Amino acid sequence: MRTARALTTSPMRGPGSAPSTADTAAPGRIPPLDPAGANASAAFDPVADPEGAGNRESGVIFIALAGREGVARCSGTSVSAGNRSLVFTAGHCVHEGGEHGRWLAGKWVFVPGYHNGERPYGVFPAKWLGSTKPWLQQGSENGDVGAAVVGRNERGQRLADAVGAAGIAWGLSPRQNFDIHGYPVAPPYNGSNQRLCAGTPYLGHDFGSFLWPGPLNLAVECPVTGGASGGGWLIDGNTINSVTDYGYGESGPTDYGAYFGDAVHDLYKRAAAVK
Amino acid sequence: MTAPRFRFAALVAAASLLVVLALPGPAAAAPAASALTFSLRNSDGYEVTVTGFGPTVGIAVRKPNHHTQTDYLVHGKVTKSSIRASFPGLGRVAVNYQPAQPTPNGHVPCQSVLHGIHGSFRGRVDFRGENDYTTIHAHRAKGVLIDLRFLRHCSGGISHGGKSSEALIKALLGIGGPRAKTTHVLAEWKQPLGGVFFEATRVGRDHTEFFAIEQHTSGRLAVMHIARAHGSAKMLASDPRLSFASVSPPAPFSGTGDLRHESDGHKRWSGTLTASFPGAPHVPLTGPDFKTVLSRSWGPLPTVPAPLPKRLLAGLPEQLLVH
Repeated sequence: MRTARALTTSPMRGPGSAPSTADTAAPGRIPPLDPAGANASAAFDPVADPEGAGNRESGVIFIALAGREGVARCSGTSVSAGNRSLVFTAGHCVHEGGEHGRWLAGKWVFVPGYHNGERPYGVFPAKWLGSTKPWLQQGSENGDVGAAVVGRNERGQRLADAVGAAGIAWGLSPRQNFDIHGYPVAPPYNGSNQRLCAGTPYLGHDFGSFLWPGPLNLAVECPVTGGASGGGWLIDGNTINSVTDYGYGESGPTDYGAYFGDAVHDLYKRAAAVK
Repeated sequence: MTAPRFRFAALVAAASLLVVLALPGPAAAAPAASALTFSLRNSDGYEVTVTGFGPTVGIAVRKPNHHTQTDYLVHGKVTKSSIRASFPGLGRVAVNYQPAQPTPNGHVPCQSVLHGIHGSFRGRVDFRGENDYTTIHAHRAKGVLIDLRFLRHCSGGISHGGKSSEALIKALLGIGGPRAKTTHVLAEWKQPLGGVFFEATRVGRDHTEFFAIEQHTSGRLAVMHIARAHGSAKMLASDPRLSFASVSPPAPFSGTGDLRHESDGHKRWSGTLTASFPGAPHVPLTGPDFKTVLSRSWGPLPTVPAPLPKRLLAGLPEQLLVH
């Protein structure tokens, strides 16, 4: 397994010990630090108040790849942990995937509550990146989950102190109703606002999921586009239980995300242990 | 009741399944190095091929000379010496493999890569198709351990996305790539948990090839139906301006499909066209939800890639970066 490389602010730690890849995780749940409900909406609509509780934990991830062309953008969620500095996103928002993939090292920052170019809670630069073993070793779409531990913002605040943090759950039945948060920037959206598909139910597993290692992924109806990657799938309004991974472009409004099982639990433990 | 016996001829079923399994998508960085496969011949004429590869176990059901196949896929446990998998509502596989010969050293000729290391499987195979279209119970079979490194090498870069899965399946099923004036009708309906793909290709004034795939998932089971047919050139009719096309393929297809460009610029794909697969008769291949292409070209058949997952990470102009 590769070791995460330093970004811009402080020394980075490696991903730690190898995680389990079994998909038979005992159910577990970490409660949110600041519980909040989500407003209901039937489509991928802009949230009414991106700074309100339940929304401000979500944000935009900006990635400038050091030494390479391009700037990329994803979505992420502040997640409850003892270090009060944990962000969950898609694996491909932190690492290219597979044993030959590279870490997206460079300027990697999380901007919670972002809207219309405003950064109401400041900018949190990553100091540690990690992903699951199925993603890092095999590039399995079933393990496309990533995490970052971020440093303090310009005001000296830790992430969870500034915006709160969603809880996290693993090993649950896939049959959940999800609130899909994200900042899609590809048309028809422009990335200026956080959007939400509220209460969209689990549909089943993608056909391709059967060909990849790791627990079968989840499909929901939500018309996501580029930039929504890594956006949190929340259950009970405040507990992350998947993230947006991929779609099939113009082929339909279906969003696919990884199942949170043992590999994600292991990633959480490693990330939460980073001081 | 069945009369299981080993059939090397059914390896084409395993081959097409393996091609699909070997191409999980753009992020397939570390596919399994080997696969286990064996085939059984049922007394009703169906051949049942079990293949274990990486995390996936597949059962492919086909009738020789019927040009159709149904693949059932689940996540199971596959090692170099065993296959364990449960197929919800259909049965289960629990077998151990024992090689019958020492592992060969050195180069394996490409024409024999699918033969692999011969051996025997012992254990239990229980399978009952939908609505009991075929039932098989077996305790032993001869089979092979296939070295997929050779398969990928001999397939011309299969592991690096050099060809689409459809192209490789068609190559394995014997559908070539002629250099002639060709007319294509493509129709695809991508659904949340699968999709339907139909392709008709008329090669000059000689003949027409038909190909269809339907795939879907149901809980922890994925199902893929494949059909192909070879017919006369007249079975794909179109006008010189390509304002319409009509297809009427032979069995296992039935009915007709009509593609018309409407005056408002939209295309309309309608008709009674269906395909019948093992366990799934008369699957519709037309309708308003299909996206279609009608085209003409000269030269090798164009490759029509399967829909591939698109990661939803967005590239941005530099100035939008937060500094």
